[in-house]
Amino acid sequence: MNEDETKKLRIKRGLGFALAAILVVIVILWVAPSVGIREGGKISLSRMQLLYGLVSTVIAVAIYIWGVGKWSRFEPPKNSAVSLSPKASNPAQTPATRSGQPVQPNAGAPAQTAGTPAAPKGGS
Amino acid sequence: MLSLIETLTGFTAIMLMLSLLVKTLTSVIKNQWDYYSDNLKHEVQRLVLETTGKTWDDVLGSASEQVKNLAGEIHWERLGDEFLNANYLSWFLKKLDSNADLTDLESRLKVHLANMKYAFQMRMKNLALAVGVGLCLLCNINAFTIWKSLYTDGQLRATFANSYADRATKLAEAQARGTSQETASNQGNQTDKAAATSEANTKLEKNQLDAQIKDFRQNMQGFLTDVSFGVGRIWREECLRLTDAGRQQCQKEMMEKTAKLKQDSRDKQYEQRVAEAAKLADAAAKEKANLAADETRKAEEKADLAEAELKLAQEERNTQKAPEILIYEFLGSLLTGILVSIGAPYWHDVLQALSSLRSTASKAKA
Repeated sequence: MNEDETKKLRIKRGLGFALAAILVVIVILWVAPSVGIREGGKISLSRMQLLYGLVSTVIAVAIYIWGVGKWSRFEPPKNSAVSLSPKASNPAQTPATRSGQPVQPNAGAPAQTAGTPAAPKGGS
Repeated sequence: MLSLIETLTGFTAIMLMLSLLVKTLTSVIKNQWDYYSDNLKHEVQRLVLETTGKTWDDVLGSASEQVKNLAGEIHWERLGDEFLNANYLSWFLKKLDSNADLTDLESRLKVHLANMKYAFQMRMKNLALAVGVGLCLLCNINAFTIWKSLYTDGQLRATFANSYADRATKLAEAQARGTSQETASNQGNQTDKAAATSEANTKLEKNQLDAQIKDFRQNMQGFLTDVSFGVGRIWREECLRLTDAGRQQCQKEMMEKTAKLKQDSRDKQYEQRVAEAAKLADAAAKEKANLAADETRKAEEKADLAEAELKLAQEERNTQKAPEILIYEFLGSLLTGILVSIGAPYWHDVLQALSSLRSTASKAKA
């Protein structure tokens, strides 16, 4: 994948994010009256309860992303072509960092050369 | 000593039940989102790179239309371990690139399969951790409160160390049996007849599993309704304020609000009684009814006052400040989340060991 394609992918992601943000606002405005959120209304939770709920959610989501999702060592990179392609110009650089993604020690097998079987990770 | 063992047994039984709940939730998420095919696709693409020296995209870029269609029609989500087979893949790799190096393919596949299984299992363990921590934190299931309740209440301890522990053990065994049978039936039988039998068995087991999940849900509801163990305390606290002054002010407002509501309700009832008394024709009976209404009102006022004083005394005794409550509940819930994520088999083994220890200790005491 060349730079143009990467750029296009980034623009696509940015647009997707913006669209999702707009959708969230619309959905919240649409749902708000049915869950009792209105002008002059009062949230029945105290600030500390909101803080607790927010911190709990953030922790659960962070564990998910770290263990299962994008930041996980065990989640294969979405863009396998970039992460797998061996580049002679800078062999020390890992494929994951080249594509702008976090380093994933297991998934990409960065230092592996063509024709060499992957090193076993162990197993259970 | 016996009380400590009983507390431990009850605590373990509760952890086992919560672990089963987390397991059920994890399998629901696992079935909903396909995590396996990501890992499978990645391992196959790595194999393509090893054997052809080209990346997946490069191979497809230089391939014929037929090969592109062949690769495009692969639905990774429908494939399993059987795809990483030397026969299938040697054909597939030759189609992709006729110069593909297929030496030691069998050994390479074993390594890739081990890699894939390991990565998938680790992701599922982490998923269970995320689900466990999220569930316990958001529902505010506090391990400290559970332990304290069991340790201080003898009757509760006895109940949870006996019947509840037995129920939890049986449920865990039934679930484990269901899962292993399902796995075995999925792995086996290649012939049509055997496959049909296997399908029937799987359906039967699925029904059993559904029934178990239903039982389990009822048990969980029973667990939460019989004894609350302070679950969700953080959401029930009405005056969780950062400063003491703010908390006292909030408590005062709440009390005034409650007192006003009760006063209104009393006034309404009194007016009804007086109106009923006014309907009476006999003057003596009317006066008697009015007196009775007055007395009832006074008695109600007295009862409400006593209740308010008791509540005030209880609140004064509760010296925990709001930040302390927050930290206590947060750490307790986080601990529960980590403990339940260890897994149901672990808690099952611990529970069995503790049950046998408990019976030995009670015999020795007798």
